[in-house]
Amino acid sequence: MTHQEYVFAAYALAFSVMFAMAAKVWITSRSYRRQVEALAVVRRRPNREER
Amino acid sequence: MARGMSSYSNVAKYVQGLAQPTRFVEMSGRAIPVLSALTMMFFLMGLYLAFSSDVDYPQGATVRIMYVHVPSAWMAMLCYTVMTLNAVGSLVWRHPLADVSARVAAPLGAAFTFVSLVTGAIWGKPMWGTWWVWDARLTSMFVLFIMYLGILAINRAVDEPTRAARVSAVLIIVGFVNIPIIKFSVEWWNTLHQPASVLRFDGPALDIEFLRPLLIMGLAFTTLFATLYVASIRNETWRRKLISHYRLAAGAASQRDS
Repeated sequence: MTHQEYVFAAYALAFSVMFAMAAKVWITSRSYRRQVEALAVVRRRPNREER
Repeated sequence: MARGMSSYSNVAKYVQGLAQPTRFVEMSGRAIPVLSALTMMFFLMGLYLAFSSDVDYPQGATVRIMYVHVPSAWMAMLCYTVMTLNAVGSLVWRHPLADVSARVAAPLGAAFTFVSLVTGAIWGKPMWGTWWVWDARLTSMFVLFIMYLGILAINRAVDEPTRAARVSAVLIIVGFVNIPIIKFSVEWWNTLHQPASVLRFDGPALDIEFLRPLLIMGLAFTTLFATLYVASIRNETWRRKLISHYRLAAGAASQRDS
């Protein structure tokens, strides 16, 4: 392996791990946000017994 | 004097306000886009400087591995320090947000430690002629990685949140002893790993040509950590809110049925 290949391997690994970490946090965030928003809509709706 | 006192109490009130989960979620909605933009900007600047700066005479191009290896090692240790501060907050004041903050940092810290270990091995092969040696710096970093995995395992193994918070807080605080060992290992023992060259009492030993990209990449990693950390705290707050709501809904449904 040449020096450039070692550099490429290190950067590829570092950025893949950081990208995977960021993607996991973002996907989880999107999923919870949708659930919380759906919950807020349900909670704003008047109770069935009150109607 | 009175004005100084009132501005101090305003700041204290603001910080106390942020410690409330609902206020924190509101604040994070504004902070995450700003932090993400800063992260992108610092990474672009850092990568440009990393690949446009001169190469080292003895190391050649492999010196560029330093710009990802060193900041990830800094983040691994910073993350554990932040976790320890939050663990103290969780154990002493039993604050729910401190518990959340202590727990969500573990996967981020594990990822940064992993990057630091593997990029170090990739740098070690052409420079030292070996991927790995059991010297004090490498071994103490490996112990840090195992600590992160242990904290993650405990968080998942204990179901009851209060008990899980206490157990992981104690483990985090005990494990903090490893952080000064990592920092000073290269001074206390004879290691193949080089001694500290940036965070030293008598100033950095690196030339400005290498120091500039390293510090910018350090800022990029710090803002990335801050972004992911704030987003993870918000995720965990939402998760707990949803769980408590589902439990209440399940309780109400079983009462209605009976």
